[in-house]
Amino acid sequence: MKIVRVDMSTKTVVDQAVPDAYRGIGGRALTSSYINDHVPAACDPLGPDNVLIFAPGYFSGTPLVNTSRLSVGAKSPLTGGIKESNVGGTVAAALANLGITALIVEGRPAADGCWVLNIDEQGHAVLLDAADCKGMRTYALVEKLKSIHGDHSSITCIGPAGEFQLAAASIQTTDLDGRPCRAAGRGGLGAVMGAKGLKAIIVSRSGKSADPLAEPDAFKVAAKDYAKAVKADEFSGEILPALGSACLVAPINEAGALPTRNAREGQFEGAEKISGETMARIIRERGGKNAHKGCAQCIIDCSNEFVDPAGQYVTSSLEYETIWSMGAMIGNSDLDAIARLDFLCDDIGLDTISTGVAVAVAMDAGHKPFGDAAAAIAMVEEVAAGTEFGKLIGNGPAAVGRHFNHHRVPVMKGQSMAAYDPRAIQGMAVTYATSPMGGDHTAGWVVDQNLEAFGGTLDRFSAEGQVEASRNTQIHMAAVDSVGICDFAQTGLASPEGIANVYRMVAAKSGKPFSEKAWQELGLRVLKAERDFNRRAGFTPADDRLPRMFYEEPLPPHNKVVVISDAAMEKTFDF
Amino acid sequence: MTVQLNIKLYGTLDKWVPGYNPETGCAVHLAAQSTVADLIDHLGIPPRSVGLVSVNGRAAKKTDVLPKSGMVKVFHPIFGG
Repeated sequence: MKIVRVDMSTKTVVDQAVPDAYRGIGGRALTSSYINDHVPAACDPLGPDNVLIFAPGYFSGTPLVNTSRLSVGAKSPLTGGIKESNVGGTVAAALANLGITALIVEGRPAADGCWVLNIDEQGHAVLLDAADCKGMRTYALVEKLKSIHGDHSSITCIGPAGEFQLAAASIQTTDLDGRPCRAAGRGGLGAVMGAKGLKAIIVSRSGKSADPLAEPDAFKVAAKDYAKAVKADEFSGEILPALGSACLVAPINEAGALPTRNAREGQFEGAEKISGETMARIIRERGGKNAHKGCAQCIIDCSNEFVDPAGQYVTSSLEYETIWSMGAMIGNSDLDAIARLDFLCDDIGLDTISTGVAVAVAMDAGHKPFGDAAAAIAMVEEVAAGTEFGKLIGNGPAAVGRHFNHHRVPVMKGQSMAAYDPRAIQGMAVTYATSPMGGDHTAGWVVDQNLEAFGGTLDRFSAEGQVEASRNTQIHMAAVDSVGICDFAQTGLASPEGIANVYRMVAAKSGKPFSEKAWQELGLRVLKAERDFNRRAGFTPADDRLPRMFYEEPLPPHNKVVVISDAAMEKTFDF
Repeated sequence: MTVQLNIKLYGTLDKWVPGYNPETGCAVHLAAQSTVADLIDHLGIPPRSVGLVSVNGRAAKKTDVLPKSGMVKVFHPIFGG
């Protein structure tokens, strides 16, 4: 195990042993601890003092399924706080198989330039001048880099939005087919990579130096049980392969929780046209691919390849959040336009959620009518063109709101919410408001408790139990993001025996006992580090709130507002 | 007096109802005062495979009595994020 440290000020690359403080952790625990320990909280996110750190999950590179999960950390130019952005694909497994615990990129070049980092099959990293790659979109960039470096590498890169250092810029990474269609989308970390002049990281997928397991047999037994549980579960074993995450469109819409036309309504009349059921049928009829494998070691296959009427590739993978942000949120029921917008965001290097919501805010402010898909496509193309308006869109919804002096901007700590309106699922109000990440659904997804078992084991319109649910889920997810298990493969840990298998695998890798208490401590360690950073960056309890629209505007069709009090919000993390 | 409902199934729930047409859904006749749980039983869907059920656009509990007519949508459990 080692850390690869890249200094973009001096263009030097060195290998280091993993410091004791960061041994035995991975993923979000490593990125957030490191950022909190080493980045001045008040620094300019795009300046030389910010650090961009890439860390595979603790289980990446092990035999456990669905563990090619990469955490990317930095101070966010979008929120001004700490950020962990999580992505699948092949890069986490590739880094872990080279024995790389973390890749740390620091400094900033004195003059403009463009470099790529190449890590070969021995784990040897070199920085290469790539002036000829400057300005390239990600799909063309990846083809060019593959032609030079071979196609058995994982490529993690930025597009024009990252080079322009825009606050909604993503870091894209390649899937199993070598397409840059997987995004560490949230928090604008593509801008941090762009500020450092780093266009791409090429990582050999031929590494054979993964960290040894202390007890390999015990690990394999637990990993096998875990995989069986993932396969046996109806959601991960059957529904996700059939429909992908788009299976959420119809039920969330029916629950009145699908933010529509910049969250003016909770149900979209065009939802059937953009549902998972419709998407899967169109893909099937046109000869695209459902049940597509996007990430290394995946056994769920929730990805897809969306094709046009002629059967030509448009994008992969069309997901629930993008279908919402580029669909219902902008009043657009044209699935082909949504697919085009998804591709454009991947190609330009933009977070689909922030970008869709930025377009929605612009439409809400009267710039263009809701439902005008051609206008949405033109707005996203403006980002790549580098126009002044394109920069607004690329800087996310808050920037657009400021430009139009428009106050209906559904962001928390500067980052847009996701596809669950908190007025219809109160627990999501707690997560959006209190997560150190800003508006982030994956930080503490409590939708299931609010909708499961015929309408919810929690009353989704009441405050009762919502703070506890969000707190517990946020602690749990901080630990999940640290071991690096795919969100959807959590079906394998949903039972007491399943989570016990996770504890067994941590113990079998580390050779040290690991318990439920240690799991809680892991999650708490992450959240404490993140909140400590944010406090020092200037955040106060007043930042753990939602925009006024959620407290004041009843959301049709249930006509509810957020009822979680400020005092309750402040109890979420009373540690 | 019976209950006459149009049913739409989502996700992969149609596997439990032979001959189900995803375009048109299916029609179901039940005795008056039947509940949502009775409907799920009638359709032959295991309750554990059901997440949300809506009746005429509103989420329904297992014990809710069904109206005389209308649209019922049955969804799979959801997970993840």
